Amino acid sequence: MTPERWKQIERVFTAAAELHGDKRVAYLDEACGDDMVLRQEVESLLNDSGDDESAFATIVVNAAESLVYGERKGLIGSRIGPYRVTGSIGHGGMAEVYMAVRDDEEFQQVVAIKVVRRGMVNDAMLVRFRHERQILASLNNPNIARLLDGGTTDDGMPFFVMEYIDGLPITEYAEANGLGVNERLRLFRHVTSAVQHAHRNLIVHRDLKPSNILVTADGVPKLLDFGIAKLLAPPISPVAVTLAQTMTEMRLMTPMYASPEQVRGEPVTTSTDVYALGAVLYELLTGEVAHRFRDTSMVEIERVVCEAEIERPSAALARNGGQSVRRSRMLEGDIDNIVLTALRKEPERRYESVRRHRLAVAAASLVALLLVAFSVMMAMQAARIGRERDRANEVTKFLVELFEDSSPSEARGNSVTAREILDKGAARIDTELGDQPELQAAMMDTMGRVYRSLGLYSSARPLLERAVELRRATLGGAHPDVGASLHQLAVLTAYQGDRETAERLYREALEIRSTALGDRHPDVAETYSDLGELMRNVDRLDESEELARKALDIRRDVMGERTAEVAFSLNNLAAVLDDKDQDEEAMRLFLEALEIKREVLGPDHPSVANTLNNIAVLYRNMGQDKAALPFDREAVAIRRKVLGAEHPDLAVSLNNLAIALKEQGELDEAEPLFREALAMKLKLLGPTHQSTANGYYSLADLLAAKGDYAAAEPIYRESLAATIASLSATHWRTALVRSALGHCLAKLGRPAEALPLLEAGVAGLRAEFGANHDRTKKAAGFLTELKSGRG
Amino acid sequence: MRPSSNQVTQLLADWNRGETGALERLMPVVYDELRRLAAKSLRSEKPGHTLQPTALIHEAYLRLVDQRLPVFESRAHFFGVASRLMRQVLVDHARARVAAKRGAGGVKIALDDAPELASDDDAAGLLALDEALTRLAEFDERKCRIVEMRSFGGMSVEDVALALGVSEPTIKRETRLAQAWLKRELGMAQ
Repeated sequence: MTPERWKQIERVFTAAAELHGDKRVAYLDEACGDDMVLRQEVESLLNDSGDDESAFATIVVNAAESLVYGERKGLIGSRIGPYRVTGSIGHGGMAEVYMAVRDDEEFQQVVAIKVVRRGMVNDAMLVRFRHERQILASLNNPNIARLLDGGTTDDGMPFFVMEYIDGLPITEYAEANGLGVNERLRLFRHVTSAVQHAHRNLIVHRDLKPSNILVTADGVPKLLDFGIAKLLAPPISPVAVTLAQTMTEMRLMTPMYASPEQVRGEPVTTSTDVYALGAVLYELLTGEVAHRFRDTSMVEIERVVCEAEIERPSAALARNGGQSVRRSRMLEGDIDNIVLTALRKEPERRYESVRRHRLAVAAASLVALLLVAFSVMMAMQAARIGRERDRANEVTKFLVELFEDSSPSEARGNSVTAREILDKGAARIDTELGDQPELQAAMMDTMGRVYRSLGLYSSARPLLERAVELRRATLGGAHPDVGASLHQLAVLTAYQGDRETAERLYREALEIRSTALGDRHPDVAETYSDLGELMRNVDRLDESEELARKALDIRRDVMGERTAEVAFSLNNLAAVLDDKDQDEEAMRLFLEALEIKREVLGPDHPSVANTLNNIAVLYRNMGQDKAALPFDREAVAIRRKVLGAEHPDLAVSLNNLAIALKEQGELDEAEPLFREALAMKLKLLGPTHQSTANGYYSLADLLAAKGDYAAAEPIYRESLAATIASLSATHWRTALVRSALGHCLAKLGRPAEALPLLEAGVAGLRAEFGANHDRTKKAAGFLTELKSGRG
Repeated sequence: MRPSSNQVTQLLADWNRGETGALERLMPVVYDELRRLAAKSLRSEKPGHTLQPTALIHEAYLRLVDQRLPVFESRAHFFGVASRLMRQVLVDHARARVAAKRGAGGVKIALDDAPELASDDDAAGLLALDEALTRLAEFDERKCRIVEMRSFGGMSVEDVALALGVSEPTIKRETRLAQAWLKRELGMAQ
């Protein structure tokens, strides 16, 4: 292509792109004349031009993801837990799937391992993985591929081990074997009953599609990946923050089988699976997909899934003519009806296979939570709007009506309703409060914050932006309410990761608030405080400290020394100082925060336990183990009370306390705590979890410290097995356990067994930490001791 | 040793002037900073705090480079250069991945029926885009820059317009043609 020719193409393209239909044709006739090459070129470019800006963004985001969050690692040949990876099965947007074998002495089992991609999880999700894995492992049905195991890889990514299924996707299987309508229906019945089994256990698949329903050579259908999609999805709903994020979420589901609620980013329920089953059955019976997309844009997907009417299966089949016409008659009537009922747009109109009462409990608690959030905000809002009783009453009336009109229907009985209440409220602000702009703005501000607190950022943003605008227009730019809305918008912006804009908004809010309300107002302190936290997040620690101090000073002065706000400010300031390595001062402030929290929130508040924990950790970092002890004790006591007898946080607290006791030489007091923590970990996390492995190790070490090497030996061995299973045979923790076990065996007078363990241990620790690290030196000491004892 | 933000800025400017040696020193710095930020953002507990890669890239440059130095005329100019560097960094990374995959010899099958654009082989897709952009630049340098800034730098239309000294409608118009051409080149046409 020459630049001159390209200029010509560009000129014609640009003009033609503005025209449509006949006008475009006429223009092209005139502009191109006899130059058919030019005409073809421009027409082909016009075909490819759309508003689809996402095309390259996706390529770039994917590449950046790989760079930033790490490679989809080629794991073939390596070990994941006790499994040896032998081959690759494939990959999706979220995970890699490998084939692997478990080499135990007794048997060899072939499994599929799904390893979640780096960058797809955060810490909160990791915690959920651990909880839910237990539930999923309990699914026991001949048509569901079993979840056998799970854990985290050496570099901390979750993996799931599943029964390996050698089979074909159900649709391909049916075609390959030339199954008739009745045979297809029989096959599908097994699928339905498997899904029902899972639903009875309150497990939703969320991603049913032919490639997740494999049929083995014996004709047995097996469902893969039950419940896995949920683990990978955000807890409340997908939050369409940015284009890139939306694309990532779209990759979580397959639009071909996605239900309207999934496409809209609303919570999914068992009805969602019913919909997907309907879509799979549609395809199984007709050979055509139920959703027919013209392109893969979000707009088109939403249009087709949420609005387009689905063609009756019999009609879809009849169009193919020939053989199909006879088969299509078999679908007319009942089968058409069943498939289309399952594919209803409204979840509550699909047939239900759910135990309603269990779901209703979950729904009720969410609605209750929302109500509390509402009433608290409304109380604040009513006060701010101006203490005028009638104004406050109007707000109340608006809300009461909203809830009266939206009382959750029995059939829905799930959290869709809660979101609907919000959406309805947001819509009403527009339609019903247009003549009361001040109230309208106040409600937008409130609703924006409620959406934000639920993590629904894309819904929150327009409301908060309009609240700012509307308040500016009605109250004037200098009004404190404008500052308040700007502050809320800044908080949202910071959550969404645009820290630069967030800072600008905070500073604007600060200017307005301090001008309107004076320098020493609680609202000004609020902005100082949140801006300070933002600065801490971007490592501008000096500024952060200054802002935290200002906020603290105002709050002390205006709100009173002993208030929750002052305690939070103290805590924030302590955190900054902790970051700046000013341990002494940080400690003093943490302690002060603790005292106030106890007084104001009550001694058993979880927030008190968190501060107690911070203090214990800081003491230990300062090398004052003894001082940490009482704080550990109290944190344990509170968590036991508040979290119940079994909770991973409690297990961690117990273990910390036991370690602290052991360090102090209180071995007898520490032992039962170690045992309790270990039992809890075994029950909650399973035998091959790293935390369980550490639990074994701690207990064995304690027994060894008491001189009871005979009791310690089997527990060290458990720890070794669990460490290898949860980390790897070459991880330094494995080396650590090996050398401890070796030392234990040496003490038991079994030097021949001890020697290889100690040698492997020293080598592993040296490789990780070098020869001069305390851990290496300690293990090397054991080895020297053994050798000199022998010699 | 990690270069100071002064040095990074100078390297970026040198590279922009055509000194290829500067690139070798820049890459590992950019790379490390991205990783560090990514790890930090993953540790965050609050919802919505896991930054998107493009947001990370922006943040990484802001941290690495002292924009106040006079080598850059404006923020837009700076991000324009950063966009080009980002393209280079990603291409370099993608090449390494493709090479590694060839070595491993594993055959991959796509498991899901996700939209084709969001699927299969990210590295190959990026390299194809890079090559197509290079071809585009041969006869229309500016359109190549526009796509670079929009897609690799995540820059707004407004910023691209500022960086190139033309109007926003011009950017939008040219983006449209450039994308149509690239899509066709990449076989992404519908």
